[in-house]
Amino acid sequence: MRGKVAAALLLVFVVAFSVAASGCIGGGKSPTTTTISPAAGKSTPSSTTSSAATTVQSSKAVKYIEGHLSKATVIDTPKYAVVVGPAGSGAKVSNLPNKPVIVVSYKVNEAKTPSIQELMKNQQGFGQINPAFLRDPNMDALIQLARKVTDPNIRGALYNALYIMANKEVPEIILGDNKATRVYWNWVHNWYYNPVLAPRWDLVMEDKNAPSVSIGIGNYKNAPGTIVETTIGWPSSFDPAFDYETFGWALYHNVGDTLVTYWENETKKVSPDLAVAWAHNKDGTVWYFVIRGGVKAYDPKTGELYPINATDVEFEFWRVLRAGYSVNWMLATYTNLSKSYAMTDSEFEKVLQNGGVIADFNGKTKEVKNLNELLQFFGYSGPTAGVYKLVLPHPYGGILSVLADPYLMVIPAKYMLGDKYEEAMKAADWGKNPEAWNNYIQSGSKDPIHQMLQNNYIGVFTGPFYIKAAKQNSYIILERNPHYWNASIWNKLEEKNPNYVTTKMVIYVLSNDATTRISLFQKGVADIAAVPVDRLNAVKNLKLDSFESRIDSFVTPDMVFIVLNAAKKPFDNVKVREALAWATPYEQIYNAVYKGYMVPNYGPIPIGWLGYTECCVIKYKYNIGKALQLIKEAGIKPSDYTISIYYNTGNTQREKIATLLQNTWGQLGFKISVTPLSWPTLLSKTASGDFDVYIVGWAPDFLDPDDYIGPFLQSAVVFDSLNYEVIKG
Amino acid sequence: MAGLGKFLIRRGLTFIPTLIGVTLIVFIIAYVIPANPVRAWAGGEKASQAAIEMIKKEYHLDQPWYDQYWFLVKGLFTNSLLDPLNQEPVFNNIGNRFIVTFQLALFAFFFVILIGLPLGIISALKRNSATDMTLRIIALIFISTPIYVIAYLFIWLFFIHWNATTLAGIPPGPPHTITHIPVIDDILTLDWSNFVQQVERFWLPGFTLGIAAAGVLMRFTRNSFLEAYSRDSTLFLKAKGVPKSRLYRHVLKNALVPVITILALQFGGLLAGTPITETIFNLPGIGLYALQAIMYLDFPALIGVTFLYAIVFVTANLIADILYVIIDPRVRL
Repeated sequence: MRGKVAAALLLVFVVAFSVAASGCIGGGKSPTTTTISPAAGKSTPSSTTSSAATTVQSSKAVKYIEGHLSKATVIDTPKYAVVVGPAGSGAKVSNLPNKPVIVVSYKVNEAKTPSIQELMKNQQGFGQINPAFLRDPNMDALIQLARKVTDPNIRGALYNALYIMANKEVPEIILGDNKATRVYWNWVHNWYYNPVLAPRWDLVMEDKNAPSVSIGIGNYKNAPGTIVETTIGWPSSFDPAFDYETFGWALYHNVGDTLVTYWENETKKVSPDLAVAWAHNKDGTVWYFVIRGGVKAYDPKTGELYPINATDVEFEFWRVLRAGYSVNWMLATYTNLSKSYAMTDSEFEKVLQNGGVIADFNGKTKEVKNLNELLQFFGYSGPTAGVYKLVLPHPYGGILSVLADPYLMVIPAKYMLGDKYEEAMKAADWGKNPEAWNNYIQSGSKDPIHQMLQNNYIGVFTGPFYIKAAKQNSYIILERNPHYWNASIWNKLEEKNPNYVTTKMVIYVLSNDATTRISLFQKGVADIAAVPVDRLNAVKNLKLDSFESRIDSFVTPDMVFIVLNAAKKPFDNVKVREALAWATPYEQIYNAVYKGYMVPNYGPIPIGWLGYTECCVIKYKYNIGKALQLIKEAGIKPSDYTISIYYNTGNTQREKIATLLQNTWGQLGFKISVTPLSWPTLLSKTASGDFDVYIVGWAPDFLDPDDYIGPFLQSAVVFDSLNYEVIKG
Repeated sequence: MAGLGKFLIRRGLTFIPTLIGVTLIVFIIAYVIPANPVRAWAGGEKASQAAIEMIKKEYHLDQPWYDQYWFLVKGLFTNSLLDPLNQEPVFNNIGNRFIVTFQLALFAFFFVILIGLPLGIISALKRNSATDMTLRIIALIFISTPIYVIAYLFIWLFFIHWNATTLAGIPPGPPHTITHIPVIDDILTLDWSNFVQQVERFWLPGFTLGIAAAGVLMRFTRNSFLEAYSRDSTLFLKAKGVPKSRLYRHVLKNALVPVITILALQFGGLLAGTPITETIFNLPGIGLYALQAIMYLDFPALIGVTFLYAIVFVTANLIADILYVIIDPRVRL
C-alpha cells in the first residue's frame, strides 16, 4: 500500500477545507468527453468542465490508461483527475486535465456479485446496496479503494470524484443539510457545537445570577450550575451495546469515556480521553492505545470504585461486537477483534524496540522507539494502565473517529462479570484469547450482562457525570462524578470565568409535545429546549429577570434527500433522474418547510467534510424548462407513469415536501400520488425495492465521508482485483 | 348476597377465554399486516443484516403464527418478554406507565364526580329553568371542545400566568411504597409534601380530562334522575306526604344504577389511557405506549397492552355489577 498512514486527520481536514475554499481549478469551458460507464450501459455525464490549460502533458497517463483499462471514465476533481474503469487495454481518453492522474482499474467477480433482484429479495436497500438500487461498478471501485487508501490527498480526491459522480447520476436528490437550531437562555455560556458528538455539559457554564426556578420533580431547582434541557427521546437501552440513536449517545457521552474524543467543537483531530497516546504500524493495520492510569469507574449505588485498564477496554469492545445489535457493524467492518488484545507496558516496549511504530498527533508524525518517547510526543507524563492493541482487517482512515463514538465507552469488566470476573479473565488468559469470553457473553438481549446493565439504569462509568435517577420517558438526572479523572478542569474553568459556575447537575426533562417544551422554557424551568423550526417565534425575544432567550443555528451533517428507484422505469434513465432534480423546488422547501434552516448541498457528503466540493458539480435549482427538456431527451412519455411518493406517517416536514413535489413533478406530466406509510412498513418496502420514490434522512455515525458515500452509492460489487496508480505530470 | 361468591367464580371463569380471545384477535390482525417490523426494531434504516436475523430468531418471527403467539403470551406471563424498542420487559413498561395512567384517572375521576354528579342533580331539580339551560349548555361545551384546545388554554392560564401547576417530568413517589400509586401511598404514609407535589403535577391534566367526562355524566345524571322522579313509586311517596329530603334520597338511589354503569365504564376508559392528554401534559402513560406500539408494530407491547385493556374493561364491568347489588338489593346476580 502506498502513501502515508491513516491517522493524519488534521491533514485530512486541511485538504477538505482547502478544497472547498479553492473551488475548481481552471474552470474553462472546453468540454472533456468521458467514455460510457460499462455496466450502467447508458450515457453518464457527457461533459464536465475542465482546465482550459489541457495539454499533452499526460501522454504518460494516456499511455498508462490505454495499457491498463479497457474502458475509462474521467472525473475531474479539484486536485486530481480520477480515471476509473475495468482492467484491460485499449481505453482511449482525450483532453485529460492538466493535473496529476489517479488511475483506478478493477476486475469484477461476476459470480460472487449478487444481482439487484437478489439484493431486493434479501431486503438490502440501504444495506449492502444504496437505497436507489443503482449499480455502477466504477463507484464501488472508488468506494472500496477510498476505504483502504491512507494518504489523505488521494482519499480526498477519490471522495471528490464520488461526490461529483453522485451529483451527475442522481440516485438520490439531495435536498440539503439541516441547520440545527438551539434555543437557550443567555445565562448559559460556552455551549459549544460539535457535528458528531453531543455537548459534554460539564464544559458548559451558567451565569452566577441566573434565576432559580423550581422544577416540580422532587426538590430539584433549575439554579445556576444545573442545566435543564427539555427535549424528546429515551435511550433505546441503558446498555450502550444495544443503543443506536442520538439521545442515548448524548447521555453516554456525558457519563462515559471513550478511547479518544472530539474536544468541544473540534472536528479536525481527536483528543486523548481514556487513551493518553496512540501509535500504529507503517501500513496502519495495527494500532496501539496506551490507557490512562488512575481512571476509576464509580458505582453511585455502592460507592465502590473500579480501576480501568486495557483489559476493560478489550472486554467492552468484545462485548459490543458479541452482543450482535446493529450498532456493532462498525467494529465488525473496520476491526478484527479476534486478533486484538490488551498488552502490558513491557510487552509494548518490546514492540516499540522492534521499530516501525509511528505516532501522529497535532499534525506531527514520528517513529517512536519506547513508551516514554511516545508519551512525551503526546505531552503526557502521568501513570498508564496497559496498552490495547487494535488490529484492523485493512487500514481505515476513519478509525479514530469510529473510536470516539459514545457507544464504545468503557465499562469495567469486573463490574459486569461480577463473581465470574477472575474465572473469565483466566479463561481468556487475561485477554490474549478473547474468544474464550464467548462463554460469558451471549448474543442478543438474553445476555445476563446486558440485562443487568439494562435493569440497573444507573450504571458504573468513568465520565464527568453519573446517572443519579431516571424515570422512564419522563426525566433523567445526572450529577457530577466526584471521581472523574479530569475533575480539575472545573476549578480551572471557574477561575478563568469568575462570573460563571460550572455544571454540577444535568436534568433532561422529556416531553413529546413542542408547546409543553416551549412553556417550560418560557418559565425558565428549562435552560435549553428542543423547539421545531416552525415554532421558533414563540421563543424569540423572551425576557426573564435581566436575561434574554437566544436562538443559534449551525449547519449539521444531517441530510434530507429523495430516493429514486433506479431499478425501475422511468428512473432507470439518468436523464429522468436529472429532470426530477431540476423540477424539485428547493427554495420553496427551504423556506416553506424548513423556515430557512436548511442549506443546499449537491451530493452525498456533508458540507465541509473531506471530499465535499463545489467544483465540477451541477448546482441543481428549480428550473422546470430544463427539466422538460431533459424529459424530452430521455424519450419517455411521462403520462404513462404514476409515481408514488412515500414518507413516514407523522413526519409533517416530509409530508409538505411530498406535496410540493406532487405539484412540480406533476408539471412534467407525471401522475403523482403521495402515500404516508408507518415506519416499519416504509422500511421493509424500501429495503426490498418495492417503491418509486421516498423521502428520508441520514445522520452521521462518525466523522468520515465513507459513512455517507458508502451507504448512498455502494452496490455490493465484488472485485477480483482493485488497483490504483498515481501518475504525476 | 349469598350469590355473590358463585357469581364471582362464574365471572372469573369467563375471564380466561375473554383474555385469550382478545389477545388472539389482536395478534392475528397484527400478524396478517404485510409489513415486517424487525428492521424498525433493529435500528431503522441503519439496521444491520446480522442484527435483523438475530432479532427475528429471538422473537420467533421465523416460526409459524401459533408458535409466535405462544412465545408472546408465555413471555408476558413469565415477564421475560422484552420490548424491542427499549429493552425493558413488557410488563415493566406497562407497570410503569399504568401507574401514571391510574393516578391520572383518579384525578380525572375526582373531577368527574365532583362536577358531574352535583350539576346533573341541580340541573334535574331545576329542570327547564334558566339554570338548567345554562348547565346543559356548559355540559355541551365540555363534551364538544377538543381536548387539546382546552389543554393548551389551561396550560397557558394555569402554568404560564398563574403558576398553579408544574409541568416537568413526573414527581417521584414517596420513599415508602405500599400500593405503588404515589397519591394513595402519600395518603397512607401521611407524606404531605410529596402529596402536594403529586397534586400540583396531576390536578390540571386530571381536570382537563375530567371536565369532558363530567359533561357526559352530568347529562346522564339529569336524565336518570328525571326518569326516576317520574316513576309511580315517586308519585306514591309524594301522595303519602313524605318530606322532600327523603323523597330525593329515594329518587337518587333509583337514579344511581345507570349512573354507576357510566362511571365504571368512564373509569375503564380513563385507564385505557388518553394519548392526547398524555402527550400535551408530558405524562408517559399507557395511551402513548399503545399508540407507539401500533406505530412501530411492536408486537410484544401490542399484546401486553391488549391484555391490560381486556383486564381493565372486564374488571370495570365486574365492579359495576357488584355495585348494583350493593345499591339495589333487588338486583340478583
